[in-house]
Amino acid sequence: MSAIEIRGLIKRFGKTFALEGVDLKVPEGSIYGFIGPNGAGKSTTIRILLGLLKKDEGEVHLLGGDPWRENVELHRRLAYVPSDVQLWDNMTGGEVIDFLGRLRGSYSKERRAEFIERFDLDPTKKCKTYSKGNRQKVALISAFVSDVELLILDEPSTGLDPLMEGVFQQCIKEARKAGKTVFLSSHILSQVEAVCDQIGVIRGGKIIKEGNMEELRALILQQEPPTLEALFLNYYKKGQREEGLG
Amino acid sequence: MKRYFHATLSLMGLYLRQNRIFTLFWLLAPGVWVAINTVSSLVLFPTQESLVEMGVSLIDPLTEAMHGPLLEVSIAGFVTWRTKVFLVLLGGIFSIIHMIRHTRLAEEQGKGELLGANVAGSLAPLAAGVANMALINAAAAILALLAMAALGLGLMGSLAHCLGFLAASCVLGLLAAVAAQLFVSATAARGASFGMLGVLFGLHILWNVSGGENRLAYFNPLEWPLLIRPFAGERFSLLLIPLTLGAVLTALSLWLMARRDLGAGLVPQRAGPAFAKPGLRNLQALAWRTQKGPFLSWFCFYAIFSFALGYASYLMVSAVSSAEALAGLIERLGGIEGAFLSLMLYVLGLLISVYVIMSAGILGREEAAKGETLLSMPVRRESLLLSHTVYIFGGTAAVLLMSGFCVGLGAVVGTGDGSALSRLFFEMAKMIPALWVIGGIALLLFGGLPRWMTGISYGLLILFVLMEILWEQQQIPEVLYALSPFSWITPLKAVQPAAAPLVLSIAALLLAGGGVILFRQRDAAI
Ligand SMILES: Nc1ncnc2c1ncn2[C@@H]1O[C@H](COP(=O)(O)OP(=O)(O)OP(=O)(O)O)[C@@H](O)[C@H]1O
Ligand SMILES: [Mg+2]
Repeated sequence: MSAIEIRGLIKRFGKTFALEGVDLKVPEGSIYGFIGPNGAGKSTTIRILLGLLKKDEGEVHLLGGDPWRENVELHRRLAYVPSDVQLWDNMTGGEVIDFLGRLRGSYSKERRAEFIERFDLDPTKKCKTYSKGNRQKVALISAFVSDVELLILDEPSTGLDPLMEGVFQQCIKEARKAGKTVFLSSHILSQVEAVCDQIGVIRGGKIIKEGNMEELRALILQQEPPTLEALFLNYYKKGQREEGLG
Repeated sequence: MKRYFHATLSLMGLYLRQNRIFTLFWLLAPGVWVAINTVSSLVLFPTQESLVEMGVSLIDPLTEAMHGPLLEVSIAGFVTWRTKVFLVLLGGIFSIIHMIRHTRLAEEQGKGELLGANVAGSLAPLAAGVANMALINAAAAILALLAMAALGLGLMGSLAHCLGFLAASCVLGLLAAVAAQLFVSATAARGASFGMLGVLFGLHILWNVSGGENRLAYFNPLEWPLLIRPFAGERFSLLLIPLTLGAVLTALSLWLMARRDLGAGLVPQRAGPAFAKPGLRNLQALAWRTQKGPFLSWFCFYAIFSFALGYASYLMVSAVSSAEALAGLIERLGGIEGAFLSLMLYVLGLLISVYVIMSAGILGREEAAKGETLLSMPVRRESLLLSHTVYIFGGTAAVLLMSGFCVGLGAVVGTGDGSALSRLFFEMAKMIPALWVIGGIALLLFGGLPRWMTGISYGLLILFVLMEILWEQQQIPEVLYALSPFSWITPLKAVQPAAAPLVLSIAALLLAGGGVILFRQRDAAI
């Protein structure tokens, strides 16, 4: 079963095409790394998955449902961390975590305390005084605390320090162990390499490569140095032709 | 010095390149307004006699409450008298918006941090904001002076007039500069500045109505253009007061800025609660958190102001009854006691439209900034909209009802006339549906054109007010005027159809319903 299945997805903003036929499949219980250069259409794809934007053409299945029509039911079963987290200036981080948890309907006091501790967040500070990294932490804690099947994370660790990056990777691995699916859009290829089992590469609104980590390993080994980073840097530069990707 | 003021000049240049349309209006509006008034006065009163006869008889207590006594019966005296309050309000509002934008708002948006980091001195942004504000006001005053001189008004008097509103605008801007240091949020700083302007304006009206001299008037910027006596034996020495005040306020704002951290207020932020109250669990509770500030401010301000107005009304009633020229108008408004107050209440009620659009604007910003977080929760889109509609519709009704009650109460206390309470209360209450239409329009725009909602809403509001004025001067036909929701409640019509409230309510409901449908179908505006 796939947690997410997209076929031929097209999205236009006025005359410009943001997505020109995206096809991807996210197996249940996997960590899916969604990567691509700036403006490739990652956030747009995610927003369509969340029913925030309306698709123009194509098929989108999210947890077996239609994300636009069944948004309320589906949102109960997922948690989302946007790439640019904005919070309520006059609320504290703790209040936001409680509020979002209650709105989603699934969270427990114990898990809340555990993740606040792990991410080392001061929940008594007003959101307007939080740094970017701390705002990101509030959203991440709120997502990890919830008892959901699917986590959709759009560049979730921008602004996190290396220590917190480690905690974050630990948390998504635990989520997978608990049977959750993670859809992770990221620019940090080392992070993707470390945690993901599946990878999709989007460029210019199209998926140009999709596969599991095992398949990619062989290609990575041919690189100099042998990292995913080198493979994709090479690739982003070379443009449309699938050189080096086999 | 370098540590504090380095790069002030380049910041001034940077600020001037931003918001050019805004600056252009600010520069031109005073001159254009004075010119329009001068030309129309020259046309209306071709001779000195016609001015004495018609012009002076046109002065009714309402105008006098607004503008104070006419010092000099001549075209020049008439024009300066008619334009000064508006010029101060205009210059003051532009200066306040400008000051907050370049100080607290910039800090809030993180621009201050960027600028403060290494390129500019720590006080440079504030200093540049103040300097630009003074420069733009001065340029606007010079343009107004040129316009007046070109139209043949005397130079000395024109100079006094322009210096008067220039001084007032600058000092109001400087008050905002100080407020920007005290409050952590731009909204609060702007609110405090406009609140202060509102209080000064209220005092201005009160002093004009009660007549007589008042020493405190020397400290109210709105009085300066009168006290400097343009065309009536100019008193330039008055400018010492604004100069001193201006210097003190500038120094105070710089001193406060130097004492605090970037982004902080003077009162340090206290730690808040680590846990949310049990009640904070749905969108209604969240809407209360985001809407309560503006709502309570408007509610309290209107309660107090309305009570004062009702209380002072007997003064005005006696003033109105002695003015013969007003007989016709008073007749239309339904008799002496009703007349003045009706008109005042009507204007007071129309101003609540600003609250309506502001509260809709909060909904718009909530979607733009937190839409991704909120709309990815298991909530229906329409519940987000409805949670704010409580304030756009219900909050508005509450402000109007409270205002009506307080005017009535004030009138009862002031005049001892027990019947005033219910009469004034219902007068205010029957305006509610018209304001709901404004809210309906804002919601329809929220659904259809979210990014343009606030701009178009204010544009339409101004259009409706203009239509009112044009209709009164019989320059637009009745049918066109009927398109404005205000035409259904204006006290300038002797009778309104009994169905007016129903028609307006249905219109508001349809508009809001259209907004809901469009919002459900569109891309989130994120
Ligand atoms: N609301 C919008 N209106 C118009 N164009 C948009 C809108 N949102 C996105 N786009 C365009 O769609 C394309 C894809 O944008 P998207 O935000 O999905 O990219 P991304 O892959 O998330 O990039 P990044 O890595 O920078 O976050 C871009 O060209 C962008 O300019
Ligand atoms: Mg993105």
